Amino acid sequence: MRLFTKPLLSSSSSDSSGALEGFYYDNKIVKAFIIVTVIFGVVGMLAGLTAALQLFWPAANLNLPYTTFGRLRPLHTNAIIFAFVGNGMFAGVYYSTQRLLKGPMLSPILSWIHFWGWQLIIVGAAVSLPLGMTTGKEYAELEWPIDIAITLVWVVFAINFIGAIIKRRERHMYVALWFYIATIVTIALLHIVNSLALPVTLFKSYTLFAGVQDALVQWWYGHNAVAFFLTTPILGLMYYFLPKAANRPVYSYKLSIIHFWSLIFLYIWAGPHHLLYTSLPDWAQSLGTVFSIMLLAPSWGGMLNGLLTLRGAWDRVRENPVLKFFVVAVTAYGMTTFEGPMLSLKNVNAISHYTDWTIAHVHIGGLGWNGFMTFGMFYYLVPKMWRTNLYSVKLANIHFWLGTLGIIFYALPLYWAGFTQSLMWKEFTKDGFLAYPNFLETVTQILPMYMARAFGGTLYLAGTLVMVYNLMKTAGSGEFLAHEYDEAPALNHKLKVGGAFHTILERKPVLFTVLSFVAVLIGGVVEFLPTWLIDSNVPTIASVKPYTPLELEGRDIYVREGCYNCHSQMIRPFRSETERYGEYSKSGEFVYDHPFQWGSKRTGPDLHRQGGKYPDSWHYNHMLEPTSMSPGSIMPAYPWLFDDELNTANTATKINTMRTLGVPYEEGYEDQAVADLTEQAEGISKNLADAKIKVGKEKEIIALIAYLQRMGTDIKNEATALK
Amino acid sequence: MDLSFKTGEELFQFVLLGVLLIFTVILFIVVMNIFMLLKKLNLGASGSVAAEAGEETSFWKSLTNAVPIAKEETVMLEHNYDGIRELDNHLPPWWLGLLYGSIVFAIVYLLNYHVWHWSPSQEQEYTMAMDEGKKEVEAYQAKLGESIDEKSVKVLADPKTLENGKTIFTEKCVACHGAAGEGGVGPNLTDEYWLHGGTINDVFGVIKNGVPEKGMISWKATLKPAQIQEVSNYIMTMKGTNPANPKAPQGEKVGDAATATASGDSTQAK
Repeated sequence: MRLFTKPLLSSSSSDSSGALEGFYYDNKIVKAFIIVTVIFGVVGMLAGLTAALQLFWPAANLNLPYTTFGRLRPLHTNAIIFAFVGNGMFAGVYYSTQRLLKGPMLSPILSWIHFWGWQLIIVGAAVSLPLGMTTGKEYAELEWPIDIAITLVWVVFAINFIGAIIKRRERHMYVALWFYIATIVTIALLHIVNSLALPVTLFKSYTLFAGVQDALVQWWYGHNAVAFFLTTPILGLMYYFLPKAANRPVYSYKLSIIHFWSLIFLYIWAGPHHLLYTSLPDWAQSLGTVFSIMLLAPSWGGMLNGLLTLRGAWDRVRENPVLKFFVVAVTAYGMTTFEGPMLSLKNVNAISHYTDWTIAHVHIGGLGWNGFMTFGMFYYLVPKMWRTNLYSVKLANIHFWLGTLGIIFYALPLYWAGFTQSLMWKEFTKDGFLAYPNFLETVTQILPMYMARAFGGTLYLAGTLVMVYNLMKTAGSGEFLAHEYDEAPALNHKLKVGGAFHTILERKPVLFTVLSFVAVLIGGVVEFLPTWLIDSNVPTIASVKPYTPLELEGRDIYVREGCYNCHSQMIRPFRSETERYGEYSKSGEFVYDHPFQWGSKRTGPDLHRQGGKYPDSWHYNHMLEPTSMSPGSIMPAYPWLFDDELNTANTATKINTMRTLGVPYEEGYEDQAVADLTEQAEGISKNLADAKIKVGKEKEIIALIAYLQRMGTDIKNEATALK
Repeated sequence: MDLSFKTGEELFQFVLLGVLLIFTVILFIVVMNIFMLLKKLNLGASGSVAAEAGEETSFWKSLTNAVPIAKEETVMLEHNYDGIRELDNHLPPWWLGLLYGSIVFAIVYLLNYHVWHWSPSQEQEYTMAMDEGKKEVEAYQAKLGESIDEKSVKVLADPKTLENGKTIFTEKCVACHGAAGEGGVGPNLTDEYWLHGGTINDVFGVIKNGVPEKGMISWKATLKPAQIQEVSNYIMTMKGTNPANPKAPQGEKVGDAATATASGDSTQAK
């Protein structure tokens, strides 16, 4: 292995007054991140493909608790976001930052703590999620010990990165670094606030927020995880790798400045667009809509700056696989950031929400923008760091076409499916009945689309495997350069340099960091504080009472099994929904829900008014074998709920924790909780016995039935009280 | 400062005001910029830069307002980051239009929903949709004439009715009442015992309105009255079929006489 090399030309800095200093770039850390990206990418895609198969072939869950859809889907999303895109982003950030600063990171030790810490977190996620340890909040499912680990590792990354900037030899920070800075501060903020929770045990916690507030915090986080984990760092990578690969100057510095600041300021407000027509107060919904609309131009600023940088290099796009991947990635970014604001319009969202349209939308971003940026970057980096040529341009082209076709085969059927299903949900007959009253009909209708989607996913995965082979062959044919030599003059801190406001800002990293933090803080504070502090935003309903201990345990099972991945608990105020499900959901009904379980996708029907709709025995049979009660259902069976006994060891602690969070259980109730739980369980067990079903009152299914029968019923008590 | 807002609406208007203020400042800066630009252009026109204006008036140029590649050295900044150079091209005019347009849209949108109340809130929208739906249904039913309910339901025994009834039964009822009506989650439909009455009128009523406290759901949102009549009639034919694995009788025994009285014309139909 060669350890260093002399560059052909020494770096030319605009104010190269000092003597040249030599230093080494650390390529080993980049290599390590590339390897794990590829491995976890394949694993994450396999998890996604398995989940996709289950939607038309339920047996693909192997009838194991660990691989049912409700547990597998969080594994897929977490693996793709944090392990695939995350590690890929770190690879690119570590490579480009060192070169943009003309110096190594602050400390190689911190780099390796970051690396191994992050991989440990991923392994923790890969073990805990299939085991059902989850907070029940989308893309933030990991339990509190892992959340703390994430925070610590992130701080290590931040210190390593900001420290490197402070030690830099380049006077000004390039636009890529601005995006990295925004990423680091915002992800820290989002992750910490959304993960605030009170632990019950080492593997179980309840979120600090309840109901509407939890929903608002969660989607502030969820939306901005997309913004600051899947968008801003990748834009930073684009600003480094695209002009590098195309050997063209960046199109417009002005555009960089304007789209950067407007993007990070506006993005943070847009979270409520995930909650349109829900019980979130109208004013917050409107803010979500208008800030999403205003996001269109800043997002497209990034796309334009990327595509227009290729002016004069389009002939090379045809031959260079790296550029090919980048062009499709940036185009996909443009498409998805156009679609996003459109989906945030109330009337469009009324159709798209809860359907596969959303899934198609995120996969244009995920497969197109994130995936293709990562692939393009790797096709650039591996030959470069292994000092050789790409093993096969032909294979890279095959990957390109497999990937592109994969995206098309993935997204188009799902657009079709989402639109079709939504129209079926909403259609009324002339005499005022739902045209498709049976929810299942609207699911079986789109099963062929699910098959096409799985085919698209397979193509995409196949392309990725081709890349793995190609990259391994490339690395094998070259010699890895672990420490790359470069030299640059030291920064002369005494030198007086003027410049416009932003130019000055570009050489003040701490001020820049603080300003980006302020920019992202405003939106969150304005939306969140009023919802928290002003009571009228969540009108109370007197008849809404805390869950009984058995229902609370049942709810925890509901969360553990990830029911929210397919079932919403939020009936929107539409005629088609109140006819189908019952009275629309009110914000006051969720005040004791830690966490909220509104869901974001209806693969099955909404469950908010499920309580009392069917007898206990129906639920019993349905959970044991869904097709027995709903022939043709694609819901998996949950046989383990019938074997496993409910663990009541923590029931008292749960009651105490909930009380600390503000749920009005009487002082001392925890001592009585298990007795009450047993009594309620006996009642359900007796009900079932009447229906000729023999089941022990201590089984988990009893608790789940108790919760299902409670859901959305409190509001009915109010109606009777008024009568 | 008094921060005791009584309603979210009030606070929201306060926030809106703040946002408007920020936008006004931005707008002011933009206008100032335009003036500066015009000033520069004026200087240019009287000076030497005028020559540039004449060339490259292509569609592309007007779209991006980009400096041609051949002349890009004129907007090349001194930046050099690891070999990456930066141009300082103008912002594409249509893009700038998009940015300002979306800001205007946002302001108008918020004013519309929360200050002027021209467009309905989601609750008002819901009420309107429900009223409209009700009117449509009433108009349709008025055109259609009488509808079937638990009082006017008829005993029919023609094969088509029973066949349709059987299809509905297989689709909707077997999950709880068993394939042959022997009972399961729900009661046995083939014996002489009924929980809520055994006449066709009773059966129609139970199917239509449900017995929520016992777990029988209401089908009136799912099945049309004619369909409920069909399946009710099919259920009446099940009596005495003695299927395998019957569920134990529930409710009161209802004699033939009782069911017959309510369906005087049944014998004629047969």
